Parts: sequence; structure tokens; C-alpha cells
Amino acid sequence: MKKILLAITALGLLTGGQAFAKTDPEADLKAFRDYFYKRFPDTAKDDFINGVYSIDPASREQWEAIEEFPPYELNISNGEIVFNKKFKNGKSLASCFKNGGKGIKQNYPYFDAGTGKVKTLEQEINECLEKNGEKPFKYKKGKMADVSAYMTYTSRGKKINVVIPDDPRAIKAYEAGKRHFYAKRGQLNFSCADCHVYNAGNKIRADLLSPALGHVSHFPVYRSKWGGMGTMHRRYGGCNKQVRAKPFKAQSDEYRNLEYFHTYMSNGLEVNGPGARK
Amino acid sequence: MKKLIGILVIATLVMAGCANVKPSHDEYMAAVAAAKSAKKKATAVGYEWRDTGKMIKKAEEIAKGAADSEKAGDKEAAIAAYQKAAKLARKAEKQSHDAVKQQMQQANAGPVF
Repeated sequence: MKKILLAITALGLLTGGQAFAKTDPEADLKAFRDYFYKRFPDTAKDDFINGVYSIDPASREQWEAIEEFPPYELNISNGEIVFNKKFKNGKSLASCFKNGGKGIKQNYPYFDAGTGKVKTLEQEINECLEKNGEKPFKYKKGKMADVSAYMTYTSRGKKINVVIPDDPRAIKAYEAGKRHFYAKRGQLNFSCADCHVYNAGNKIRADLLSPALGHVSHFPVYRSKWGGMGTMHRRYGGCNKQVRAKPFKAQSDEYRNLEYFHTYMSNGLEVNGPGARK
Repeated sequence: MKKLIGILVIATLVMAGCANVKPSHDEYMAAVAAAKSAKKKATAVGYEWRDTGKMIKKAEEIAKGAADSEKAGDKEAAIAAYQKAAKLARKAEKQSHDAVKQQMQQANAGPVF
């Protein structure tokens, strides 16, 4: 009887240890960075914000030529106009954000203790509009992308600073985002990591796969393929569709949690958005 | 010999006239119900594949064509269409089953550095 009780206790301690293994975002971040530093030893650590252009000199030359007359300049101008446009009640988007909405992008997304959920910049732009009796924007392009582009532009040079507080709900959101990033999905059975971690720098047809380190720094992004500006969640949807998974809705819990993990993995790198990409 | 051929031709025409659409219609109905039920399960776990819904819609379109053929008296065409629709619905059902299996396999996905 004693032996049986001892065995049960030992088993309980073992499985209990597994079930309550502590999430360690800082350790995850270090391992993530170390992987990319080792995979791309010739890339300066702060240059990962330039995506494929940090790992492929030929592409970089073309991209630098494009950056002389960036295709996203109009989007920034349009975004500034919309950002400063007065609502019917006399307020504007600036009234809803710290520092009038300038130089704050690096803090997004963040965990909101009040709602117990991750909040993104685009989400708060629409919350501001709705709170002031205005019609919300669609999340993937158009005015939303332009306003986000303008606000991001005012944050250029600031270091990404996503915080994972010691709140079980925040940890749960972080873990959900991490799981989405590493889980294979869709008929083609690919994860985000399959392309942007394990095959970063390799070719997929005629394109190079960008490293996930520094991935988020230049969003929202002007993509030549779109012929326009689009948000992070627009890209998430496109990526999911490309592996033949049904995409989630922009600003769904799934994508906000993914953005939370994904952005945290670029903590310490500078915001350089909006960017231009293929 | 001519008599035999003649009898065979008449028998074939008689059989075509007696073609029963109901079994293939029932087969299609069961297949599309199973496909929709399986798709709900895949959606519930967040793993629905991109094309599954389109396949079910396509099966339903083909079945509508089958119903039109039956109304127009072309029973053979109706049977063939219902069978095609059922096959597509079963393919959609399998996609959803695979999606649910995929979700279970990936439940604890993490980095492999």
C-alpha cells in the first residue's frame, strides 16, 4: 500500500511539473534571436528590421533605389490628414491616444488588464472612432492602413517594447500566439515558422523567405503585390490562405494574440515602418 | 444473332427508362450532411482548410443541376450528377477530418531550434 501511494505521489509531482511548466518569454526571445544571429552571421543585429534586404545584397540594392521615392509617402500624407480631421464632435483621433498618438507605435500591441485581452493599434483606432460616434474603418487597408502608417512613421527609430506582464491572462495570450506561430496548418501543412524560421533565407519559387526576427518593424507595409498599403492582419490572412488554411478575421483574438507573440520576438529592434516590400 | 441484338437493345432502353434517381440522391444528401457536420468541427477548433467550404458549395451546385436534369426527364444525367456531387462532398468531409487531426497533432507546437 505504501509503495502504491509513493508511486502515485511521484507520478503526480512529475505530471504536475509538466502541466505547470513556467512560460518564459524572455528565454523564448533570447533563443529566437540566437537562432537568427547564428543562421545569418553576416547580418548586423539591428539590420534584421530590413527583412530579406538584410540578408540578400542584390535585393537590397533594388529596395534602396525604391526607398529614394518610397511608394508609401502618399499613404503617410493621407494618414496624417485623416488622423487630424475633426470628428463631428470636434475631437480627432489624436484625442484618444497618449502623446496625441505620436511616437507610440513601439508599445503596441499590449495586454489590457481591463478587458483581459491584447489590444492592437488598429483596434484602438476604431475604438476611438466608435467612441466619438464615427464610422469605424475596415481593418486591412484603406484609411486604417494609412492612419496606422502615419502613426508608425512618427515612431520611427523607437525601440519595439511589447510587455508581457505577470498576469495569467497575458501569459495565456502570449502562449496562444506562440502556438499559432509554430503550429502547422492548412492543407499544405505549414507553420509561420516553417517559412520564416527554419527556411528563412531560402527560396520559395522566385522569392526569398524573410527572417521572422525584425518581421513586424516595418508594418503596415506597402506591398508591390497589393499595389498599396496593408496592415499586419491583412498579411496574416494572406499567409494563412497561401498554406490553404481558412484565414481568421482581422483583429480576431487569434490574430491579436499572434501579433502579441510575433512583435515581442522583435523587442529591442527599431520601428522603421511603414515599409515597402515585394 | 439479329434477334439477340434486338432483344439486348430493347432491354437497355427499358432499363434506362426505369433508372431510379432516389438512391444516388440519398447518397448525395448523406454525403453533404456529413461534410457540413465535419466542417463545423474543423471550424470549432480553428483549423478549417481554405477550400472545404467552396467544395461543399460546388457539390450543392452540381446537385441542383442534377435536380434540374431529373425534372427534365434525363434520369441518367441526374444520377451521374448526384454521384459526382456526393464524391465531392466526401472529399470535403475528408478535408475536415484531416484538419481536426492536424489540430490535435499541433496542439503543443513549439520551436525546434
